[in-house]
Amino acid sequence: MFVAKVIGNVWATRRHPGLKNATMLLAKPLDADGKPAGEAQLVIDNQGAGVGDTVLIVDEGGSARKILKNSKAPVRAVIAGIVDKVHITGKD
Amino acid sequence: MKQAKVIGRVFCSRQCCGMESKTLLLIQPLDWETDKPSGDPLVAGDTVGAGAGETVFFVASREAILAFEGWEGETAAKAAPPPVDAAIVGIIDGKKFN
Repeated sequence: MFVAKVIGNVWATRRHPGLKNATMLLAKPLDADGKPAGEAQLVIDNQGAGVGDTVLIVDEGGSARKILKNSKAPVRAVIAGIVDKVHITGKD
Repeated sequence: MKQAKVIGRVFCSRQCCGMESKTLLLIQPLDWETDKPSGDPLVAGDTVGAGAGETVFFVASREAILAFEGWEGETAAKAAPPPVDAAIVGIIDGKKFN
């Protein structure tokens, strides 16, 4: 799992039936300082996250399908939660 | 899941179990933000009927097989799913950044 920031959204009318009604967001991973690091990726959201939110992402298929409650969805990265605060010992 | 552009098609006259009648497309992964190529092209199975030049998104690893496994509309839903490690699961209409 990793913490990321939602930076945008994607829409597609032609999509796999397993992604029907899925909200697709673009999330960019954050480093320990809370700065964006690495490549943005497409994540599926069923928590109601929006652009600008800091979110917790699961990048593993089995857990992702469990979150979506769909055992056949071809997904890998799913938002597992919306992060309120990250505290790192030694930093403020 | 990554964004990619369809740059070609791959044909095989001899295919392994479950690969028959599956469309294999050559795709170039792109960065979501810059739309610049990111990494080497790869071959992916198609589930949505994508064509050359279209911008798509795909799922890699084990989840690619799930895109083919037991979905309605598949001619042989009961048959063994194809051994693929990338599957195109949508055609991108648009995206918006904050």
